Amino acid sequence: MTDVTVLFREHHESLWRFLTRLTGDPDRAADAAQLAFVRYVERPPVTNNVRAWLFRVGRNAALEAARTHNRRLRLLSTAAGRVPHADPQPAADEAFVAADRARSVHAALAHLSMKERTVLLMREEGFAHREIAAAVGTTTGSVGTMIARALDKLAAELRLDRETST
Amino acid sequence: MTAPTMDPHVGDDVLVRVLDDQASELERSHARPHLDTCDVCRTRLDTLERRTRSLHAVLRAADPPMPAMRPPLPGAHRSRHIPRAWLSAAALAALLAGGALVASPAGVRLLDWIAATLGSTAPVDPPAEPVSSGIEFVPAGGELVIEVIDGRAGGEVRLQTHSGSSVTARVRDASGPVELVVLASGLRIGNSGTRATYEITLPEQLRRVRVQIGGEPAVDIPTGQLPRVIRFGP
Repeated sequence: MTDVTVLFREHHESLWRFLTRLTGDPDRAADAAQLAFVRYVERPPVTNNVRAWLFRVGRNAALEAARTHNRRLRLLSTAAGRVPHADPQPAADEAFVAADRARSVHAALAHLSMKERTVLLMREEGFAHREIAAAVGTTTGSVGTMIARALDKLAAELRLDRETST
Repeated sequence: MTAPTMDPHVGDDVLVRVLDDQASELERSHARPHLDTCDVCRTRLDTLERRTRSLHAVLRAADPPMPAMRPPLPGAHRSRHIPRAWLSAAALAALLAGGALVASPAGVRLLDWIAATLGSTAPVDPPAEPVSSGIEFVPAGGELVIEVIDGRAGGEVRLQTHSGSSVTARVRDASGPVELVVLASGLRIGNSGTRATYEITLPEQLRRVRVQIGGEPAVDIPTGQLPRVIRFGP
């Protein structure tokens, strides 16, 4: 078993970033990433690609958490009067702009199917096409097509055809 | 009838593989000469490359700051590795075997012999061994969520503050296993079917603590209002 501290240092940030972009919720992403490492400690997987395993477990945990969250939201919406709400914190301009930017990026990503989103975001984290294919249950050949299609869908919404300075 | 014509251009799948350096030798050997002479494919490749670069920049700009997290420690949680279905089957089998033994003449003689040997016929229960465990961590933000999974299991959450910067959680007198998991938002207590007392000490500088028990609406408690004991279950 690889030392979990070493694994955590090498992969946690990338996993958290992937899950944050996938779900649009940094807290839920952090929880799901942490659960992936807890699962690793509890039952180390028999695999030669621990990184891909962590991403798969983290993704499943995040999606399950999202389903639970949505169920709770439905329950709360039926009893809104009984639920305590905190006063909203006054947001600084910078934080507001950053949050607004994150919201619009997530909204654009939400237009993709979960499979397309996973493919695109795993590619961003540097996974090989065959690893992405294994994660989403498709062929290596179709990964390229899905990436091109996802980029086409996002192009207008995120104005990807403008040259970036970075 | 006209014969079907082959598309002379390079497909998106191959273009992306070329872009990502994932194309096979054969694909590269076909695509490269074509890309040198075909404006349509060259433009499409440039578009995909530009969009990839832009998306990378857009995603980076929208990423929130990462919360401080620590790796889970092997001793920081307790969990059952035996599937519950197996435990149920084993318990049922033991019950049936015990019942059959007691009901049989041989079983009665055996029980009499055991009673005579021990000098008493009163059944003796082994003392239940209370389970205790604990965890310590530094919270990521100004508030903390404490989530108790099973609200029907019974027990109490005792909250208090201290001047330190870490959260300590101790499980006292647990009737079974309890899993303590530190999450970015706070602490999850996996107490499925286990009754216990949870002593949780929080840093004074924490703004508030949110306690959620068994899927009930969360209760927000400013740390200034601690100590407090929250009882739950039957």
